[in-house]
Amino acid sequence: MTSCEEMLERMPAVAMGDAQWTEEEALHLAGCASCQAEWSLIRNAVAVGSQVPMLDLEKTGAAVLARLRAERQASRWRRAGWLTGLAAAAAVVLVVWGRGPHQHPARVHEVFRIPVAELDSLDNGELESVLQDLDAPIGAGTLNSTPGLGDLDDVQLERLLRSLEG
Amino acid sequence: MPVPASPTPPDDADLVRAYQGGSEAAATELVRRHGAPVARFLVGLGADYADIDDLVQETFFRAFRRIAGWRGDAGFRSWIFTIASNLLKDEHRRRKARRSVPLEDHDLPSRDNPESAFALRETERRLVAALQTLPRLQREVFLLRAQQGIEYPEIATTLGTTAGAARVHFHHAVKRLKEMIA
Repeated sequence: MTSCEEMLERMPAVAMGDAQWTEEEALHLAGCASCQAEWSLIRNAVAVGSQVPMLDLEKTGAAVLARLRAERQASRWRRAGWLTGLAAAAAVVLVVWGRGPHQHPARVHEVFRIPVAELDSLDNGELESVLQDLDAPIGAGTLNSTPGLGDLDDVQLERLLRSLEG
Repeated sequence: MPVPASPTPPDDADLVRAYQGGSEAAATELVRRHGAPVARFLVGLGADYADIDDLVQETFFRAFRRIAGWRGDAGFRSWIFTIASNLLKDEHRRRKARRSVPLEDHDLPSRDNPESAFALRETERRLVAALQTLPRLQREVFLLRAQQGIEYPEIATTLGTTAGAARVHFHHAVKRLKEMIA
């Protein structure tokens, strides 16, 4: 004999049309007020949301994909911007540090050999101009008159010139 | 990468793999397949009809963004229901302070059959209101089982409980809803 508990377990499948009541279950339902109340509840639960206006799922899918593409693009731009910023900051730090009062003259050559994309793309004249801008007091000075270079001996100066000339 | 061609339609796992391999058509098929059940589930959880379109879109957006998080131990549909549920919880929290219950256009009966549509909407409103009084786990177990027809083992995997506990939650929910609605 079918119990009320077994009836409840069968209700979702029957309410969704995936199964049908057996004769015994139908008899039980007809004579059991508690199961009738549960059956009504489950049928109402299945119907919840059935009046939601028809969604245009093609449009929804397209909108989702467009958002995902936009997010991926934004993420690429953020990453690229971050790397460029980092490279530029590294270039400035290296140049300033390399030209600063605490810099050991013997390391000048090493500093300029570090492959920083922005510096690599400059020609010698542009590099010299960058150095002048960084070192010279505003509005004055040339590479030769920069105080930091005066601290280098001939060999170190020769090495620096070679690095500038490639 | 195209949706895999096979004599039987690809299952959800096939579509997810195809999407991960770059197939946007696979993602569209997943939306087409599960969009309507997600919408109904959201209504059961108390979402306004007017918000359903946006909520469904946001649910799938979040799902595809973290698709690697679906390991296939629960069905894709069950997994997406948990995303929808968390989304709605966030939305409710955000709107709580300014929330009211106006009678909006979508609450009005349909012109085709105003009386039956109104009765159906009223029945739904009462059931959804009663569902909101249940603990979250009970409410979700009830909807997954009664509205979506999902079996206890899968409900258990989805909600992080056991099949036995899910069954008890379902019976508790039915008992309480019966008392509230009768």
